[in-house]
Amino acid sequence: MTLETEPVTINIGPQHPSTHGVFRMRVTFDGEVIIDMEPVFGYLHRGIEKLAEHKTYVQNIPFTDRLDYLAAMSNNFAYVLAVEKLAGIEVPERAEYIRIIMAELMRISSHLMGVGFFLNDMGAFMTPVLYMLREREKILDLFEMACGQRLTYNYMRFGGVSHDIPGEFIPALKRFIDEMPGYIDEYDQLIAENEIVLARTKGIGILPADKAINASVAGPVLRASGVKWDLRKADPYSIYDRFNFDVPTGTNGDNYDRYRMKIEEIKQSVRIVKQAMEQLPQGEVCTRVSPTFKPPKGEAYGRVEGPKGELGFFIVSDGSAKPYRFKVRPPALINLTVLRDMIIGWKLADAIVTFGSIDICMGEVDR
Amino acid sequence: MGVLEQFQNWLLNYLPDWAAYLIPVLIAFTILSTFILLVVMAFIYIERRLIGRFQIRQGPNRAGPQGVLQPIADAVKILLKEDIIPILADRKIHWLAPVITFVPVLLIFAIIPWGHGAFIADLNIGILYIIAISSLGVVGIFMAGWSSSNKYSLLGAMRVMAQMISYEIPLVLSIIGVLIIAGSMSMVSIVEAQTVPFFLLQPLGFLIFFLALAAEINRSPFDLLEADSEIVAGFHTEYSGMKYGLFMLGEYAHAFAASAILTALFLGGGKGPLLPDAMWFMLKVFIIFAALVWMRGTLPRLRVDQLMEFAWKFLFPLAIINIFITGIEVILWPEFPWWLMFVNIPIAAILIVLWSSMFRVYGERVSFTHFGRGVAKGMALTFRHLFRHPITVQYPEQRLSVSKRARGQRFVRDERKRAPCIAACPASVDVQGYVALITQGRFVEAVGLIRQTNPFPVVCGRVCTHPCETACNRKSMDKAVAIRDLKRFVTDYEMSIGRGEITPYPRTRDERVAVIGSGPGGLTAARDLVRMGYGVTVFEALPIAGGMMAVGIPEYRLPKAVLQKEIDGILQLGVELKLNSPVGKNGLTLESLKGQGYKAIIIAVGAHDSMKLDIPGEDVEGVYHGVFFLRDGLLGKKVKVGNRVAIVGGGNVAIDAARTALRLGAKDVTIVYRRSRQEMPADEEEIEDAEAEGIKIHYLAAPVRVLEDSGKMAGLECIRMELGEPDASGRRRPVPVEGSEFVLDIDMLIPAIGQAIDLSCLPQDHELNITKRGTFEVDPLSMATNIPGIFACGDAVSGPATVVEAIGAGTRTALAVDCYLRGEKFEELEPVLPLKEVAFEDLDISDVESKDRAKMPHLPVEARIRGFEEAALGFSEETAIEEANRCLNCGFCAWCRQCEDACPYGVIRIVPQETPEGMTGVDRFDIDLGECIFCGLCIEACPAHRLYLSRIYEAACYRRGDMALDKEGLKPSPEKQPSAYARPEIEPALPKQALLLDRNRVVEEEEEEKEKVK
Repeated sequence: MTLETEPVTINIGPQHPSTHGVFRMRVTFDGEVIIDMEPVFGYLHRGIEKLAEHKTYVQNIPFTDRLDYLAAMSNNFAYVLAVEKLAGIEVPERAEYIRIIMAELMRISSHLMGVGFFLNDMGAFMTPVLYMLREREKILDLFEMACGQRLTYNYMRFGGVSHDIPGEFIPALKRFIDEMPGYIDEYDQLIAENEIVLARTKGIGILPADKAINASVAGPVLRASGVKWDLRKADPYSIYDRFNFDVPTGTNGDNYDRYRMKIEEIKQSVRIVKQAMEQLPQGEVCTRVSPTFKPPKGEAYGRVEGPKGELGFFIVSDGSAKPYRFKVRPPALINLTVLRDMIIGWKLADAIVTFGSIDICMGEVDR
Repeated sequence: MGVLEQFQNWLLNYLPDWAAYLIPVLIAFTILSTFILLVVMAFIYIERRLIGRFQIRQGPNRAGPQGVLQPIADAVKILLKEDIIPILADRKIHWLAPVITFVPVLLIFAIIPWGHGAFIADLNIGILYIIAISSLGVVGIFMAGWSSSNKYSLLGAMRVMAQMISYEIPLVLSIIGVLIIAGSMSMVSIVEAQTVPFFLLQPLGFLIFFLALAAEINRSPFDLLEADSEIVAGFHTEYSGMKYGLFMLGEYAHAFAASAILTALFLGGGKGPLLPDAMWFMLKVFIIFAALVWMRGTLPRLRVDQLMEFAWKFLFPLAIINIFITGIEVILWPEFPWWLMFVNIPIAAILIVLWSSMFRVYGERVSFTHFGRGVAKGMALTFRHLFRHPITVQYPEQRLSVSKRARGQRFVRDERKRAPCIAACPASVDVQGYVALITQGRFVEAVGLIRQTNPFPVVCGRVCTHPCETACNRKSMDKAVAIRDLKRFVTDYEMSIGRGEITPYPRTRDERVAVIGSGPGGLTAARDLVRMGYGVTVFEALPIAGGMMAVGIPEYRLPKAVLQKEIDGILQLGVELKLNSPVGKNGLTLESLKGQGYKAIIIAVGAHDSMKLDIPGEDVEGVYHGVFFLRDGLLGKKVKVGNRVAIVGGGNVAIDAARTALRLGAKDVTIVYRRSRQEMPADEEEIEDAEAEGIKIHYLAAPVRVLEDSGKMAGLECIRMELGEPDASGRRRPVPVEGSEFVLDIDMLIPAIGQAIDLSCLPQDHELNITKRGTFEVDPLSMATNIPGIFACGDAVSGPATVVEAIGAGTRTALAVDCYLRGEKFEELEPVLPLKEVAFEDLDISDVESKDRAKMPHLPVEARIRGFEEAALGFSEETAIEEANRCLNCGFCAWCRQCEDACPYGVIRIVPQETPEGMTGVDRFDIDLGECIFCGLCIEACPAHRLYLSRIYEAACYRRGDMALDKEGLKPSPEKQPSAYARPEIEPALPKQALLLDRNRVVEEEEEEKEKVK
């Protein structure tokens, strides 16, 4: 006797515990096996790119905070790089170092959240994510010291940063950098060898290197597939060429590799911050730019290696105090385009974990 | 025979059959269900609390002590929740499902043997009964999933069927070993049979049973039927209110029942030494439950197919093998002796490792050594975290005693008023500002702000007479904010992290200025002049710099090293210092200084001479004037101290001399003061400390003559005084009481009744005006003497006064010198902000909680009097922040409206105050919380840093502690009004302005004095 079966379609999201915001997947199942998936987004669309055309350049910095709100510093960084390129603004040495420290701390923080919620998606009852939140809190404390904010920093300015770091910052940073390797060991103890984690991640959601390149995927997702591409090395911006660090790569491009990539990158970021902290020079932190400054006519593209991949801002200026065009290249959106290929043929639970391993932020996907 | 049966038999003697059977059963049921409910509540509490601690959180801690009432709160919440049923649901089944899930669980408890004889029923097929009953719950869960008309629910229900059936099999099989050994299916007999708990004899069976049980009762990592990250909430996605509550209740009751079964079958039931059976039983039940929670707190969830594989490929075959081995053992040793556990435990270990290496888990073969290591490591880590201190906040949260105006809404009333602490400070330090910075943890910036106007925060943090605290508005409420101690704290903090590089001020002016004396007045004037770009040389007569700070304040109040650091900081700014260069000697005179090219000279020589007692015998050996006594000690000279020492005087010098004498080895130290304690000019804290150290104070007594015995001191004759009419200083004049003379037996006398100015720096024929008191006569505003180009400040002008007054005078002198050298007239400088002080009545303190002023910790007295170690220890970071938060934040705004222009959304608005004369001052900042994006651009825009320093929630957000807004603050702002009123042209607050503010104060004081005279 054969059972008559038919596929069933389920909407995962926009209201779902594991869609990291308001993402929606229309998934067709055969039992629990996925046979098709259609991503639906736009629920968080705020029209930031259009709004930005009506604000001055400085007033747009807070908007960039609200793209990938788990990595606001990196967003600031990319935007000010673009405008500095456009207007030819020099950045003082000390500000460059502070920016590097902030960007790398942001990467650590973002990756911690990426890994933590990735494990939550796997059903770990909040424990890993709470351990990681503990360290993220310390990073946020550091940010709070520097700029008074914990999530949307609005810290970078054209020609530097808004405030110099306070005297308390470096001792606290030193403490954090000293403690961090111990915490990374703790995560590894909790997760890295756990048989259930291995069973849930190894060999699942594989993204081959060629497919990743074709889809112009970037960041840890790309590197997990074995492609050694990191803007900090490939196209060094700011002063990244002064630091020693490695670009970790994976071999299989599976969920496990993507998770490991983030942990390895945290280790590298700790290295960079340590070097930057030691070399931090004295001096000014900002070239004063008028709040209503008008960059010359032209266009510029500034990009950074954000925690989630290549984050770029394309700015067109018509010579007025407001940008004529403000375009974002959001890494999360582009990384998300490969999700369908990665999860077809796997089970519902795998789809959730794979989605978690890409580490997206809907604020950036929908803008 | 159980207790229940005995009761029934006894009742049969009195009641008809049906009643005799029914009544005890009803009683038992009531007791049992109440008990179950209580245990379930305990389970919920334990689970939440333990999970919290595994995750280094507090867990529930708000309802009741340690949060023990949390389950009750949960229950109330669940009962009050709205019950929502989907339209397409099959309502009858939807209603029935939770009941069917819950009731069978209760039935399990019927045969649990709580202790010896304590059971409701002893079925001879007890185990079969349990298996049959507990499977019933599956039907309820499936009904829930099916009837909800939700695909997630359906997926959950399907998972339930698969999972429950799959795990039921290893569960049953793993018990068979127990049955073989016990030879019975009755729970009571099984417990009786356990001379050695069966988990030792049946380790494999125990492990399989435990894991299968965890899956049966739906515990992590086997909780797939409600896997939140995948299928939202599984079968109960569409349940709410009490029906959901029943599922919850059923789940915990099931966990309780399962733990009880496990206890009965494998852990020897209620058996155990000392404690009663039932207590042992419950203890074991709780331990098992805790283990389940531990697993939940550590492990992620398995995937659905992996879960099946685990049951069928791992647990099932192992259970079969276990039966096989147990069978053989029973044939060989029918009595099943206890030593078999030494055989069975290794067998179990080998079997698990061998079996697990047979198949692949994630594409790789599991190695012998690795299996289980990852899980074990994780479990060990979470276990360790159980004992760590939680990182989250303990509720009820620490209430900050911050005023409403500080929290956001009403922050200013009138821009033409300033905080009384700032007004009271002779050096015009922005007290409110740095206290605000401390609340935000920005200690380095706080020191920077103090240094703007006061170059000696380190000194003032320790020895200042703190007029700010006297003026503090908080004292009208409870006690003044401990401002001085806060200042001390930030300087300590700065020292602990290092001050960093100090860059000298650039020299922009050609003129050079000479400063005579390196006390607080002189050095402040020097620093301010260097800041203005002049070249400054300081001439100091003594071998160390610092004036009275260095030679008048003992080490235990102001350590030398600390002072030296501060002075070094000033020198690094570009001040030149010449030590051992007394002016008036070695050819160095005022004239010669002018000859050397100094365009202006500031005399700040201080008051280093001592006043005489004017009594007979004052020149006897053993009389040592206080000022010199302290100075010689501090300069490192050998100072001989008598055994019994008397000090005459009531000022700080007297107290310092007394405490120093004590530290130098005097056995008995007495202070003689002619007025009462109320009139004593020394600091209250100082007097208290001195008394604590054992110094006696004779009030209302004055020395008459020093008794002499062959050239040596033999004692001091004193006379009692009483207080008469008030004198010029407002204090009551002491009047001697006739015939009340008495003699103090002493061998050393330290007079410390006052200081005089040492005029030896001047030539005999100088033309400077000197007052009757022996001080320099200067213009009270510009500090200029009668000779142009010569200025004087500090104690040399005012007579012996305080450090902070000297600092204030120093800044003013520097400004006057600047005017003089530029050829401007100081008198013509217009004061910019004629500010009044904010009065206590202006403040809204309706929601400020009274809070004690923080106490400065001190060394214990024994340690103190042994040496010159600093007595006050300083605040900790927490105390400092807490204390700073007591500040009522009286402050003001300059109304420049830069903030309004900077805001990307236009949500900040300055609201004017309406008075009968029209709109005048700023009433408050109004920020629409609904639109504010917290970018902080307004804060950056504020030139006076008023927004920056304020603790407005929306504008600052610097510390989470401040983020408590009252409902009033959440109101949206009314429609924006056109700004028809003029903006006052006010410059940002610069140090120079602060000096002018201070000038105002002097003028006012002058006027007041004049009025008095009139």
